[in-house]
Amino acid sequence: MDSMPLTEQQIERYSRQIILQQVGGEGQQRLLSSRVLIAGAGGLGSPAAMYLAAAGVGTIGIADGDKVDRTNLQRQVIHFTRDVSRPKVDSAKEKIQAINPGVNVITHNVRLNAANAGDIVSDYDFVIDGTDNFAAKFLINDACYFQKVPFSHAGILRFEGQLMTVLPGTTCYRCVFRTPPPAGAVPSCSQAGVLGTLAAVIGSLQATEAIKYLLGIGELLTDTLLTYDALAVNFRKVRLKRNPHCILCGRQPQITILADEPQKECNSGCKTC
Amino acid sequence: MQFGVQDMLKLRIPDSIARQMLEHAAAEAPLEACGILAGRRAMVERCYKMKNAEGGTDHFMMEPAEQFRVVKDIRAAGLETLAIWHSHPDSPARPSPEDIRLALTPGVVYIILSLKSGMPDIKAFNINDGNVTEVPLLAGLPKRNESGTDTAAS
Amino acid sequence: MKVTINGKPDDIGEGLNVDGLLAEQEVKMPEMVSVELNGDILRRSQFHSAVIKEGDQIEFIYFMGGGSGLNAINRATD
Repeated sequence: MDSMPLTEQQIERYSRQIILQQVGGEGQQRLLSSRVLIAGAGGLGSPAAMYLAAAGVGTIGIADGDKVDRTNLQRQVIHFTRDVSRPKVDSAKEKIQAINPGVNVITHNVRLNAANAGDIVSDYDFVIDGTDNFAAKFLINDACYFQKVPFSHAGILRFEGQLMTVLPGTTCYRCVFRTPPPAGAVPSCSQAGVLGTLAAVIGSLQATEAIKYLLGIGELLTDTLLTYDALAVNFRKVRLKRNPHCILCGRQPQITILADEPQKECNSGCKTC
Repeated sequence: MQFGVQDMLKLRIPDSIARQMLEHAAAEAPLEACGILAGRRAMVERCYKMKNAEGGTDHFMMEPAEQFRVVKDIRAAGLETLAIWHSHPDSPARPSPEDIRLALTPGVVYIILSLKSGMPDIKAFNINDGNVTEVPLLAGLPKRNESGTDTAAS
Repeated sequence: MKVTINGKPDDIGEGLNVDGLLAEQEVKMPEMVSVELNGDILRRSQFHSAVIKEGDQIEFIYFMGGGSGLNAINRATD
């Protein structure tokens, strides 16, 4: 990737981070030639996309097959009231380009699944999981594993959030959480609710991890699960290890190709579904 | 053995302890991890990671020899056994019928750490004669104006 | 006679075997209990034959275990 010297406008726009010792003009050029995919233009994807655009990540991909819904507006701050009923990727692209016209936005107006996820993620340097369901999170984990693309896993629910960075060779999502819960076994945000600001906190942390990775600075949140309890104001770093029994990245993998998780009937005998 | 001890109304688990529990559960997955929590006055001070002698993905069993060692260690430290915990790598943070059947130790809280949901979930329960009631788990330190009883949940 | 039970000094009748001691301690499910007598874990067959003597140190603890049994259900329905 040829790095053209920064224009005067770029130097001015990015001055506040160029003067950081760990960034500099060289770091800025690196960001400008990077490609980050935001999987899910929702709660987490919104702040992630906006801050990556502001930071000058040169190419930002947005993958989302949904339209903006009124219930999204409580936390998906990249979408405005006037965007209701619009494809999320279009709404997101418009705001990203308003923040920073220098960013090239690629829209993938599709729901990620086993058929398309591999091809889509393979085109990027880093992926941000901004999805809102566990099946998608496992799909992204698997797709990034097979395509050897680093990614940031995150999830939010009620007043809690979690985050971890997965590079080829480090603890993956399935090392700890084997399979998604059966349909209906775990409440989604629509059933359990979520405080909007959780998306800001966790989504911004995801963007930060992406930038650190692209610049090669700081310590990434690999082999670590960061949990956030907003009510108690507790951040907790849980050390993880790659799991030799992991069904994806372990010694005897049971998952060898990308596949959509079958939606099992809930049979755990719980009474809350 | 604590006979006639009132059911615990709540339990405080500091960050460092919760972290140890999560790490143990994650490290042992997909097998069930188990442990004993000890402390004073409903505040956990120590987490003993125990070996799952059953070595199962859907069963756990502690070794009596290890149990005796731990119980004596707890006693020597002037602490009490507050909780028995185990992980559910593939099921919700709720005691199964088998968990309820084998919740034999009186006066302790039973904690289940689930990895099933994609986000860790820790819940605590009093289990007596098949009756299960949830016990609130509080994080960290008691409020400063405490005199002898805890104030409302943090 | 004086003995130590689970770290606490106690006074019990003479001639009790372990079965008798557990009954006296009101242990509801003696078959689910492990007993250590003076540092040695007893086999269940010894509960009847082992007689408690003055100064003995007895520890007993309930079996700690459980299981979701979920995998059995999953296998049945797959």
